[in-house]
Amino acid sequence: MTTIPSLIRSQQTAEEILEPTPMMKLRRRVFKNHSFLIGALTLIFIITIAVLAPFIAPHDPYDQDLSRRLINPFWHDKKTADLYVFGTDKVGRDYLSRVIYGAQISLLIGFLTVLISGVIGTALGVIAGYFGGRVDMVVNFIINTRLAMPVFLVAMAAVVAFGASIHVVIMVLGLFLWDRFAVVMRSITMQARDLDYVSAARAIGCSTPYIIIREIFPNVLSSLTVVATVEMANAILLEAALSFLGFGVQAPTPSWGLMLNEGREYMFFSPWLLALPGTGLFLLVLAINLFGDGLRDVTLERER
Amino acid sequence: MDKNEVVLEVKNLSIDIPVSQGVLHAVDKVNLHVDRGEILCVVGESGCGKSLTSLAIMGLLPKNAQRSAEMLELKQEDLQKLTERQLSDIRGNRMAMIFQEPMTSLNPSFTIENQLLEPLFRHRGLSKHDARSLVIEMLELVGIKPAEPRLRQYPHQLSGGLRQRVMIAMSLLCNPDLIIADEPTTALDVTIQAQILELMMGLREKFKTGILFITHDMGVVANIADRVAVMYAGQIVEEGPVAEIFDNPAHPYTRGLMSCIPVPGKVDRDSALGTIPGMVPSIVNEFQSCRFAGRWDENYEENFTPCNLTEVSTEKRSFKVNSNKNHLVHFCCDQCLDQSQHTLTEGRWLCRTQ
Amino acid sequence: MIVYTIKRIFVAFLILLVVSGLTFSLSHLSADPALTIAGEQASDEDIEAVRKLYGFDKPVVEQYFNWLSSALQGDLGKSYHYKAPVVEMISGRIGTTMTLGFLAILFALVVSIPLGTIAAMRPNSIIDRFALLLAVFGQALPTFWFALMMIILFGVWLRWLPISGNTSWAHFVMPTIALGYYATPALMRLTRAGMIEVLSSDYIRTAKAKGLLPVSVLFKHALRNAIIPVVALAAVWFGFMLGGSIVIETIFNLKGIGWLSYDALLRSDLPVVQAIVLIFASFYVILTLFADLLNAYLDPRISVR
Repeated sequence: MTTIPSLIRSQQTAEEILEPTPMMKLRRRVFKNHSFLIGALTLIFIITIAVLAPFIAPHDPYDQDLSRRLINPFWHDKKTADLYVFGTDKVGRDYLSRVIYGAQISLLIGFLTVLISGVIGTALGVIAGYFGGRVDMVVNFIINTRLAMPVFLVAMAAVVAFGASIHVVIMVLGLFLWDRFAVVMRSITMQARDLDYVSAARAIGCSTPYIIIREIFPNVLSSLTVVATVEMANAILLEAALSFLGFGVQAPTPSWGLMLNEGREYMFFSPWLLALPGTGLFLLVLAINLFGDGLRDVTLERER
Repeated sequence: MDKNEVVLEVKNLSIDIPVSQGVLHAVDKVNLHVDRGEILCVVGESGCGKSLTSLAIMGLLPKNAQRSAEMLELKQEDLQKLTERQLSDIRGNRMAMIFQEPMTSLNPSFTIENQLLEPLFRHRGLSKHDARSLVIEMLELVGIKPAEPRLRQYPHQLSGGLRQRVMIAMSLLCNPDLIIADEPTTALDVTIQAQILELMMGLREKFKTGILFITHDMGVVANIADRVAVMYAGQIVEEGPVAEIFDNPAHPYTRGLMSCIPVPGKVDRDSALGTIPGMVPSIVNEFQSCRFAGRWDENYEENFTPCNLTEVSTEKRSFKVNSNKNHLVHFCCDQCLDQSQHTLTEGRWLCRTQ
Repeated sequence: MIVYTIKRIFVAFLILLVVSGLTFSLSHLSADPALTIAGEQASDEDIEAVRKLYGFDKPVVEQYFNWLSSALQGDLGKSYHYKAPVVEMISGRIGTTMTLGFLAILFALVVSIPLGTIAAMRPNSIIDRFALLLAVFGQALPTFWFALMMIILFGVWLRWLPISGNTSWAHFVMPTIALGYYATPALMRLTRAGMIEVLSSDYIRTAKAKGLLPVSVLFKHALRNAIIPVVALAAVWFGFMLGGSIVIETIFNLKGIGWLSYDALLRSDLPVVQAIVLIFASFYVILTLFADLLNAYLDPRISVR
């Protein structure tokens, strides 16, 4: 005899069978997380612009012509809008092209800095977390020493010492911004070290590098990416500030920070010279931060 | 004075919590009452809704939990009609609560004195001097002697037992009609536990306070309770005087709890302690089947004598046990009732089982 | 506790020693300071004379220990460019930077604590979302660009505030906001997280069960506990802010030590740069020490480790 309650129960079991797969769950979380979506899309947009800069930019960003200097952007001057959408700077370079190429510089500096600092910080953090004890103490001391150094001032001093160029800026920032990687990796490795399968790997005689690379590293990858976004945003902002003060990328490279520096003397009469590269900087950092925050939320939920 | 003056009366209290899969019926139509000077023990395993019941009475439920009750009265005063402000006048004053975790229930940033004076300032408006002497008196009453040097200490400087005594003193300060104690001894050592239980029984004698005592420990129940309400999966399944419950448990769940208690002399030394098989069912959404399904044990029938049930309510499958009007048992379904193999003397069920 | 404190102070000194050594070698290994001092037109003999006079011909390690021993006696050397003692140059300007840093952290706390508290009381409400949005936007706003935009808006278009100098309190308004807003997202998030945790704690339930009014539950019992880590973080941020003062002081022409370090770097005036690095590092070390000791004092378990 089939009663109504038993029917309902069989439906419930059917639902249980159709439980969403991990991939479906991940997709659902990704699309529920608006900040992740907005951040990722904006970031992809900016990266596309940077990569395709030679094809998108209407003019050569280095092409000077003093006869057409300081042309107003389209919202001030309709006549030149077709040729110079964002106007031109003080030596007559097309501002739109320079803003587009500026994205290249910022992203390049962000990526390379994070690559260098990520390698340094991860190595230090994993070593400290895995071996503990005295090794950990030494690494901790190195981290604290690094934190005590005023990054901006020492970076400026290093640029003075080694000469201002994009390579020096990347090297200096890369050598400075590894602290968060080290701190996060250290604590995660410490937790991972005590997991059962790591102990198991050690028990069957796996070598330490093998354990670190094969067993521990996959666990820390998502946190690593989150830290990388934070540091990338940080590096981009620091480079802009350095270039703005004249201690970073040198003219005529179209770095957003440098453009702000060059536009500063015209800020009272041509404020768009400051507004445009600043907005680019703001949007890029915002996109990276949103992406990082969203990524953290999405991965944290998985671990829960 | 009327000996059976009712302090707390609760009728059909339900608590629903919306969760992602539906609605969690954490507490389902619970009835209970506490008389003046009486200790009612609510006993059940974790997650059965006993703590939520106590928080609902205090009006301290989490924001997302929804409370509904036909009746919720403290000394004939309807608590459901009060505003949040009026309710806070009653809390800590006419009804007080003692929590499970003495380690975290006191604010780590303030001295004992500071925290004990608060309810007196709030509800009695006493001067600092008067309030202080009352606090000292109360601390000595709960066995903290000398009390004076303790006043200046911070919670982390006291042991768990001392802190729970402080909590008890705090609850007694305004001489409440009702004290709700939510597993006050669970986090303590066994010896301290016994002291605290003795203290509470002594204070009950002295102040004639009604105490709603929540626990999962049948040993504590045997020591302290006047009456017992056994709670299972959001419902009260059996209630009655403590001796009745221990001698003639009628519901299979109560029987399961009983068979988990080792009794010296009665249980063989080497025999395993009793267990209740299975898990507490999920109480999300409506129940389609027996709440006790999968938790049966044949020992329940072997080790306990069948009782004589008299029907009191058809709808709720409620029965008087052995004609004792204070000892009631409630079954969730026919299956539970049938498997318990009780004899039914009156009502519709009698016809059905024959 | 005492052992822990002594250990921490010892480590702090060690850190300062390493920091100063690193900066010293960085500045002395790369460029030739004698060239800077003597000037572009100087002859080789002049440069050689300067090198002897300042001791640049000696090994770097020896130079460092000479510098260190006089630094420990309170002598940080003389400016190559202004020929004045560095200690005097700094002590005349540090007040401005400290005022700016203090005002900035105060501004950050005044904004972030109420906002974080309100957000925590009603998680996912409109106010909470607004605060979160503010935090996300604030974190992405480049300090120096924000400062320039404020100058254009308040200094040039509206003419409400002076844009350069440090002669009146009004000169500090924009620099304070420009420097302080950057710390607000972190402080606000910490306040919010701390408040949410504290508000769900057992002792808050006890306070409510005592019948206390929401005001005293919130302000007396909750905020006091939630705010301790915020204060500790604010102390560390104060150290960061002194570093950030370089850009802000340069933009607003506030002549504190941030501006001084910019000026000194333009002139390759190494003793000044060195001294300022040391001062910033000392501040950071002292402030983190303070934050750690504060935490250890409040949580006795820390010092056992």
